[in-house]
Amino acid sequence: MSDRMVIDHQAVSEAVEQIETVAEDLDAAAVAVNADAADAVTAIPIGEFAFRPALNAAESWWYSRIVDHRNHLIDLAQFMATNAAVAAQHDQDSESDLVELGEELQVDVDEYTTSDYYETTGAERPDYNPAALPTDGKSVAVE
Amino acid sequence: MSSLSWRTFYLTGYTGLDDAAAVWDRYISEAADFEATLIDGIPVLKEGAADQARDDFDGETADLVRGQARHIAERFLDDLDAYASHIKVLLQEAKTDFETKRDELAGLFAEKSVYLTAEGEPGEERFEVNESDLYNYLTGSGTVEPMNEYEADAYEQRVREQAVDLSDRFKTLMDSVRELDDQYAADFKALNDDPPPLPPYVGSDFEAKTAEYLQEQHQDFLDKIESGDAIPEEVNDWWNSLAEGDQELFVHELPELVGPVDGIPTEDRDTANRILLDQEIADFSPTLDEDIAVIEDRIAEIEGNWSEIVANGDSIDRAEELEQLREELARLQGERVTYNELVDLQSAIAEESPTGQQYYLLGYDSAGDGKAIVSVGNPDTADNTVVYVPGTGGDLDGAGGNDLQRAETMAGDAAQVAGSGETAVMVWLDYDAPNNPIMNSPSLSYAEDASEPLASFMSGLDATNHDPEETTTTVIGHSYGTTVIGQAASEYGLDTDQIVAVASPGMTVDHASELGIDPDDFYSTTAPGDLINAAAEATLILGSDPNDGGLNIQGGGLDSGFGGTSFDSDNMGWSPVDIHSNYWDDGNPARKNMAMIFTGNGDQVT
Repeated sequence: MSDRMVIDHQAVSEAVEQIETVAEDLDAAAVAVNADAADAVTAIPIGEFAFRPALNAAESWWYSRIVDHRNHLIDLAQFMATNAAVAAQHDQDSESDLVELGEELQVDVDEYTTSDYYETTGAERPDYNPAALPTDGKSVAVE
Repeated sequence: MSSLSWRTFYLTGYTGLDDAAAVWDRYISEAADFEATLIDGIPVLKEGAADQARDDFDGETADLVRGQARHIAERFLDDLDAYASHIKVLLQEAKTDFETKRDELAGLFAEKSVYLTAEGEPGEERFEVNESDLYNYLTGSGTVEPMNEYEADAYEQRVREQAVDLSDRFKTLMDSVRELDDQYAADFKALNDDPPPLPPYVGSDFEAKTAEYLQEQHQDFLDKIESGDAIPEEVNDWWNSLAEGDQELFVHELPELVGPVDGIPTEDRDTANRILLDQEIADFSPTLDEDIAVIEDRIAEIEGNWSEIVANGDSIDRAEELEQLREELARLQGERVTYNELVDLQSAIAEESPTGQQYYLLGYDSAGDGKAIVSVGNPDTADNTVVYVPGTGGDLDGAGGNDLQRAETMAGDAAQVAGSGETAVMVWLDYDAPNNPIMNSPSLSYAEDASEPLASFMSGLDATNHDPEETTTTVIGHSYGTTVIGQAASEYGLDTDQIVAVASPGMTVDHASELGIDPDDFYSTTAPGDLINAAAEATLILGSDPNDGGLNIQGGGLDSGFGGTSFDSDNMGWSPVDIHSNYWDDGNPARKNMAMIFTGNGDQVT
């Protein structure tokens, strides 16, 4: 891909945190809308009306879609964090934080895997959680 | 299938659906800020930023990251509109529909006699007569006075008739309620049928996959372009609506969708076409010359030993082999010619032109004789644009050779006109030009096939030009190229200010006013010794002679001629055939005249 990436690892790390916050807010809002909307229709018996289980399914699907969006954001954030970590490792100038990563140093956008993130940043791998996996059948590149 | 009972339906409160819709509405309102939160709220993700944020994260990968963030945000907002909003609307509609039906049922209950009772399981709804109460009423039990027999019979009959009538309506109503219930169930289920894909995850051919994703997002409009239903102005609007990063992806990952499309800016088309050209050249077999040599050697061997082959009785097999070898040789030699032409074109536009302008490759096609559109200078930013349409014999070779040199000459001449600004001159060879002046050129079919592409190209230039009102645009044709222009101008109209015909055999029309421009903006020249004079006067197929100044006596009177202004050109030689091609020679006054026209000084031609 590119032979040059200029990166201020401090600024990008802050962006990573912000993206992760956006992702979690997105998730939390979807959880809340599902719960509140479900509470609102409790007076309509689910076993009697045919549309009720379909409504539930639609709302559940929406949540799964949001999980996919969230995972995309996390994936993007982790990729940025990976390169920020590489940049931090090669930062020779403590004043500017600005590092230029040549082709040989940066983690290529076409070859990145989540293993790169965990190995480069030292982040702890989460326990296996099927709910957190992408649901559209297009998984991140497996390590 | 819904098995909703009338009791449940009647006793259920539906305001909860409105409450749920309100929950979704609040959620949608808050989520609508997602893009602002993600993109605008996080400086390094903001595209087009020429500030500190871009300095903090720069390079192609950073651009792809920003593009990915925007794709996620856009996909989310589209999803919000397509799904979350749809859920909300369905909830609101369901509430209204169910309440309307329940009101109808309440009306039925209000209408019924007090001696009728609603009964029945789903599908069997009916009103039954409450026999004991009715009997008591009719016979006057309790506090009620008894009716006479006639009144009682009539009353009882009315109650029983109403029971039948209302039962039908009751069942029909509940059937419609269950249909409604089923319909909403189907609508909610259909929500997630075939949802559009999300952008690819980072990693594993991310750039190519993102381009595919992008293509899918714009497939409807791309199909419109492919079918020719999108006019260049629409194409330009669409292109300008794309984020810069997406334009880059289209250009670099999907160049075939960019290079040939009228309405896309010159710089982007040029980059895309150069990528395609490089790819096509790289796709030729690296052993082409060796393959040709091997076949030639084998042919020579067979031919050299033919007497011996005949003597050995092997002539039939070897003759067959020879035929196959010659066919294969012809094919490979054809490939070799195409390869050379493509490499020549690539080489011709690799450096700056002699005028100091850049070359722009606006299209090419190696099939057949080949086609190409090459510009000397950027027509989107130039002060004057000239589209030169070559005539008979025009091909890929010429577009990178002789015809391109003429374009350079015209651009250079125009630059000599004081205060003219920059003049971009394009060789437009996006048509199959006739190969043979005797056999092909009298035919209109080449011009007819070229008309629509030329008109589209001119519209595209107009769409991408920085200031079409202030830019002087000229279409100039040479020889059969003028026939193409005439056919296109009269059939489709051309987005041009001026038309120039050089050595025209005819433009398919009888007067300049039929070219869709003011006749005062039409200019023509043919050198006195040019062989085309004979053709222009003789042929009726290609239209009247554009150099007809109106002095000819026809039928005993003066006609008005073709219209427009004729300008001088010299023979610059003795051979009528050579004179036909000498208009761009040094010293030919036609050159200065053309330069004056191109730069908006047509009133000064001689």
